[in-house]
This record gives sequence, C-alpha cells and structure tokens, in this order.
Amino acid sequence: MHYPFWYVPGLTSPMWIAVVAVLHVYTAMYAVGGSILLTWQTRNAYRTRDKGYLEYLRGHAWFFVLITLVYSSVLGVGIWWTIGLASPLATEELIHVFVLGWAMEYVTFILEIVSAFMFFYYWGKFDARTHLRMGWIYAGAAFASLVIITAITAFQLNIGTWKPGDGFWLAFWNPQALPQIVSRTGGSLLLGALFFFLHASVKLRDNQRLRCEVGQASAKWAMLGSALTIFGGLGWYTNLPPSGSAALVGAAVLNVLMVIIFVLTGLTAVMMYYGPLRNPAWLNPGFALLLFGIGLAATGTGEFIREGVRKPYIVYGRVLGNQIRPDQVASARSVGYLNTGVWTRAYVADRFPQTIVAGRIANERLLSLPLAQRREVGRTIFQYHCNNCHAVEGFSAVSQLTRGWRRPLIYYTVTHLDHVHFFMPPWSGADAEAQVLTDYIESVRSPYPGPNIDAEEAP
Amino acid sequence: MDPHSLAAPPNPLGYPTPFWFIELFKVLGFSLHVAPMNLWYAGTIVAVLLGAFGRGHAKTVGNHIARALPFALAFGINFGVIPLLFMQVAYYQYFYPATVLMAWPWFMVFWIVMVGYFCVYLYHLATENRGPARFGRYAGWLSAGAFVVVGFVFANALSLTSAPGRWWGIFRGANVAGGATGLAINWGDPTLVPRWLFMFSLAVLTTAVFIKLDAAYLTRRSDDDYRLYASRFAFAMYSVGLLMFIGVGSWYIFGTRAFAFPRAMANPVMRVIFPLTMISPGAPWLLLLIGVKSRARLWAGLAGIAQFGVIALNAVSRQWLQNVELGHYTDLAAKPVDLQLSALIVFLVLFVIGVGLIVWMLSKAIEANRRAAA
Repeated sequence: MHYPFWYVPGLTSPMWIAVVAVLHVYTAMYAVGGSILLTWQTRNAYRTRDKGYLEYLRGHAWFFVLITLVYSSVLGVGIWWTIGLASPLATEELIHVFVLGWAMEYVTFILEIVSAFMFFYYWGKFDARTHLRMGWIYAGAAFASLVIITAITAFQLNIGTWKPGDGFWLAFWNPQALPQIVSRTGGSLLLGALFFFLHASVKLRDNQRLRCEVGQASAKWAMLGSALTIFGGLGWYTNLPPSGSAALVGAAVLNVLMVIIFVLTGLTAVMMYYGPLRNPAWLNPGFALLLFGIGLAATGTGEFIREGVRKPYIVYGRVLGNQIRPDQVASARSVGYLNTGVWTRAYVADRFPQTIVAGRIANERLLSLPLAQRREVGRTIFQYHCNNCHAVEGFSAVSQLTRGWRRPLIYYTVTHLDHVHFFMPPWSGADAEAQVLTDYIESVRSPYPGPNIDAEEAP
Repeated sequence: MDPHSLAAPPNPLGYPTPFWFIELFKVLGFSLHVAPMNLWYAGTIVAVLLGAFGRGHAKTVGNHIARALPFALAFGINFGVIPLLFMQVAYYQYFYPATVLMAWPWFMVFWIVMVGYFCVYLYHLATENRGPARFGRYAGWLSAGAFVVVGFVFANALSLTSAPGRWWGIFRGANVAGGATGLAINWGDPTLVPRWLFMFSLAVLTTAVFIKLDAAYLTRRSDDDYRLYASRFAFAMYSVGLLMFIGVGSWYIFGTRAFAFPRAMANPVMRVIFPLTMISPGAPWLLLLIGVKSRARLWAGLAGIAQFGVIALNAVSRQWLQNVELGHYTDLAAKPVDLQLSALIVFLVLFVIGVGLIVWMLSKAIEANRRAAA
C-alpha cells in the first residue's frame, strides 16, 4: 500500500503474475530439460554417425531456439514487468535480498543465448566435440538459472530462520530451496521429453525407426524426471511452513489439486513406461498430444499450488497479501489503514478533505460521512486491503463469497479475517475503517439465493 | 499534493552493494542494452523501407539488417535485464509508482516485443525466400511499428519516474476509488517527445554504424561494389541521424531541461562528460567519412568502438540527469548499505567465467568461419 494499487476489474492485478508465470514456466522448463535431451541425443547421433538422426535434431534445435529465445526469454522478462506492477512491495523486498542472485542469473542468460546460437547456427561447421560442448554449456547455464530462480521463489514460501542482516546465502539456501530445485529439475526433464515426443511424432511421422529412437531416448530421461518430481515434491511438502501445510490439508481446492498433480505425474510416468519406452511404436501425434496436455496440466497445477499455499504472505513473514509488512499491522490498527498507506492517505485527503485533522485522516470522522461516501471510502479500503486476492465480481468474488450475509457477519469477518480463514492476512485497520468497509461489502454482496428456510437469518 | 509525500518509505534492508556499484552496473548494462536495441529500434524501419522501396544494393542493405535483427533482439532484451534490476534496487520509490500509473501500456511492452520479435523472424525468413513474401512484408511493418510504440512507452515510463511532481495530477484523472486504472500516459510532460525522439536519433546513428560494420566484416570481401555502396549509405545515414541528434538533443536539453547544462558545468566530472556527450557523435561521423575513402576495415572497427563510446557517454549523462532530477526528492547515495560481499564476489567470478566462455565460443566460431572460407 506504499504504492498505488493497479486496479484490474474482474481478474485482480496479481492474477496476471500467475498467468504470465505459468505461460513462462512451460517453456522455461523445456529450456532446461530440452537442452539436456537435445545435447544428449546429439551425442548419441554423432556416436552412431546417424545422419538422419542428426538432421532431425537440427530441426528440433531450430524449434528449440524459437521457443526458448523468443517466447520464453521475453516472458521471463515479462514476469519482472508484472510483479513490479502487481506486487511492488514484495518485489522491492525480494530485489533487496536477491539482486546479486538475479545478476548471476543474468550471466547464465547471456551464456544461454550465445551457446544456443552457436549450437544451432554452427551445426555442421563445428567438429562434433566442439558442437557438443556448446550444447552442454547451454544445458549447464540453463540448469544454473533454474537453481538460482527456484531458490529465490522458494524463499517466498519459507524464509526459514533468515532475518534482515543475515545476508544472501542463508536466504538463498532456505528450507524450500533444495526440494524445489529437485522437483523442478525433474519437471524440466519430464516436460523436455514431452516436447520431444510431440515434435518427433509430427516431424517423424513417416520414419518409424527414428521416431522410436527419439521416443525411447527421451523417455529414459522422462522416467528420471518423474522420479525427481515426486521425490522433490515430498521434500517440498515436508518443508512447508505451518500455514502452508495447513492450507494444503484444509483448503479443499488445494488438497484436491495436490492429489491431481501426484496422480498426473504418476500417470505420465506409467504411460511413458508402457508407451515410448517399452512400445515406442505407439508414439503418434494423438498420444504425444495427450501426454503433453497431461504434463502441462500437472505443471500448471503445481504452480497454482505453490502460489496458493503461500497465503497469507507474498513473501513469507515479510510481506502480507494485503501489501503491508507484518510489523505494520499493529500500528495500522491504531492509526488506521488509510493513514498507513502513502497513496490511500493522499487520496482520502483529496477526495474527503472533511475527514482530515492536522494532515491525517481522523478515522472517527469517516463514520459521520453520508452512507454513499462511507461506501466510497470502504471501496478504497477494499482496493488496497482485499483486491489483491478478491475481485468484486469475477475472480474469488467478494460479492459471491458474502452472498446472503448480514451486516454483523460481514463486520465480524472483516475484523477477524485471520480467525475466520487462517490463510487471510489479519485485519489491518481501525474500527471505523472496518465499519465503512462493511458498508461497502454490504452494498455489493449478492442476495441469498431463493427463499431462506430460516427466516430469522434472512438478510 | 506534495510530491515528497507520495514516495514510499525507504526499504529497511538497505542496498546490498555500495551505491556506486549499482550505478556502475546500471550504466554498463544500459550501454550494452542500447547498442543492440538501437539496431532493432531504428534498424527495423530502415530494413523494411529498403526492402519495400529499395533496389539493388539498397535492398541488400535492408536484408543485411534484417539478418542481424533476431540476434540483436536476443542480446538486447537480455542485456536490458541488468539496468532493470539495478533500477529497481535504487529507484524503486519512483519507478514503481510511475509504472503502476501507466500499468496497461507498461504491461503491454513485453507482449508487443514478443510479437515484434516473432515478426522479425518472419520478415527475415521472407527476405531469404524461406517464408511467404507477402506475409513477411506485413510482419516486417508490424515489427517496425511495434518497436516504435515500445520506445514511446519507455519514454513515458522513464520520464514519469523522474517527475514525481506529475504523479498526482495523473493519478487524479485515472483512478477508481483510489486504485490506479493504469491507463495513464505521461502526456503534457514537455520532456516526453524530445526524449523519445532523442533515443530514436541515437538509434539511427547506431544503425548507420552497424551497416558499415556489416559491410566490412560480415560481407564477402570480393563484393567490393556493395561494400563501397554500404559505406556511402552508412555515412549519409549517419549524417542525417546526426542532424536529428543535434536538433532533438538541443530541444531536450536546452528546451526542456534548461537547468541541466549549468548544473553540469558546476560539477567537476560532468563539466567534461556532458559536453563530450554532445559532441561525441562527431568521432564516428569522421571515421565513417574516412571509411568511405579508404577500404581498410580498421575504420569500420574504430567507428564501431567510437559509437559504443557515444552510447556509453549518453548513458552516463542520462544517469547523472536522472539523479539530479530525483535529487529534489531524495539523496539516493545516502541510503544505508548492507553489503552482501560473498554474493558480490560470486557474481563477479561468474561474470568473469561467463565472459571467458563467451570469448571461447566466439573464437571457435571465428575458427569455423575461417575454415569454411578456406
């Protein structure tokens, strides 16, 4: 709330992070896993002097360059754009801890680009050994990039014992870092293989021998990937902070999704074993597309869970979902949420100057505003305190969540957010602000659907 | 509204490196970013125009630019990461509010770049008859337009970052109950248009030098006729760009930032750098002129180095100007530092290893090229 909040009706601005991140991660993981598979298979093709195989791999390298250097790298930069817009305080916090980590990652990016260009554009111009070295440099740089970024995002979920002044490495090697690196490495190998299946099934439709060879070579890595994903996932689960474990067990949507991801990963491994590994001739575009779809679903679900269990924090213990720091909650309750925020205070002072005393909002004066204006102030509080996770209509709509609620229930919920749902941030404002927020939510809640059997409880 | 009151409180964690280090890498990263970025910014338009209306060697100049664009984009985008990172470490209190106020245009930047990037590939493939020509032409125009729009959005974001005094007026007209709609553009800021055009004029200069470099180093030595044409074309283009640079630069500095020159003259370091920035394009211009007369590739190489000097000097002067503008609101250099020494060392070691690996890869490529030529 130290920054203006970007209002995106229907979706909420932080949801853009999820959209961009999921679209990016599909190909970013392919960049890691795909590069290992591509170089490994190129090595095999050189050893067997199989020209057809090499020609196919050259075509795949072109596809790889386009997907990873154009689509994936731009979306990777796009995540920076999006987090700065939708969660500026959390970004500010992360960059102060990890800017040197990101700078290290930048070195790996440049290495990836140069080696990818060398690997593709100098195909046939380098001797086999040099060519393979280029491929391994790419794979190494991509893996290093995965390690760095995964450790940073893992910090968001569990900072462990880290506190300000503890420096970079304790933050980097947080309890979630290693398990997530293992599971992401596995996911990358898995996804890399799925990209290979899809590409080979289309491009090698008329060459069953080669299609089988590519399928089998990729499937071996995919089996390893499945094992790592499940192993790392278990590590991730055991290293969750208390609120994360509780959310996973308590929130129906999350535990269902958790089961789905393990089932999908297991299913993919089984299909891979009986399909491309044991019966490579089965690999056709339909089967490859099915596997690919399952793989994307599993990855997307994993990302959703990873984000979901972090609540009520954006950065665990450092930045709450309502864009304030935990140590600001007490003072915000005392002086008021609107007074705590730079832009909220300025907005209210400009829009409702009658509420200002000695340059600050006098919270009790909010209650003497006419109802329409109280609702307007309540809407401002909603924008900053609630809109990070709830739209009015649309994503996680507050109008639907409060359907049929009466005023006392709304007020109680507002003032006891973290008691009603432990994964919500605590109420961080004065009582008068809770009342005007209640006024606003009352005005947008949907009516009780149909006749209410308990007439006394009817709104 | 007092603009001082709209800046977020400073982050309690402090800078992870000394402020000078942040500035150094911001400027270095920006210079490395600008060199390839200039090529796609002005070069795409030049390539598409020459592709559509040029004949003979003129068309070849356009195709050679198109050939380089995918590489320029790959490197330029990634080199841009470093200044973006260090911008957010030191300037977050000003950068975030400015970009949130214009969230939608800012958010669209990377989508537009992605479309432009794919279109560049399509255009390049079409110029080599490896893709449908008509479709490629449309893609070329689309990418050229996309990059100009992106440049405009950048000029907006960075001019607004340096002008907290404009935030409140913009916010008042673009909010819903205190939440920014993100639909604002920094119209009305007198620096916006000259700032945008200034970078474009610099891009014209860099593209002209690229044409010379391409003709000298990336074109068959036997093709003397083309190399002479490209040298003349590069010199003419640089001359036009230089006039733009002088005109727009004067408008930007003397027309909208009248305080800048006197302030620079009062600073012992900027007293040298600021005027040098203004006259620096004279060096590549002279080298290109000599390069028209002389066939030696040395002049092209020197022009390339001199142009990078022009870009670097511009980066330093822009950084100084940004600090002066924000100096009205805060002393960025005075914030506490919580040095992450071991991480800094690891970064620098990785940086050196990375540069070493890149040099090794390039040496292998040169070796392979020589083998192929022999």
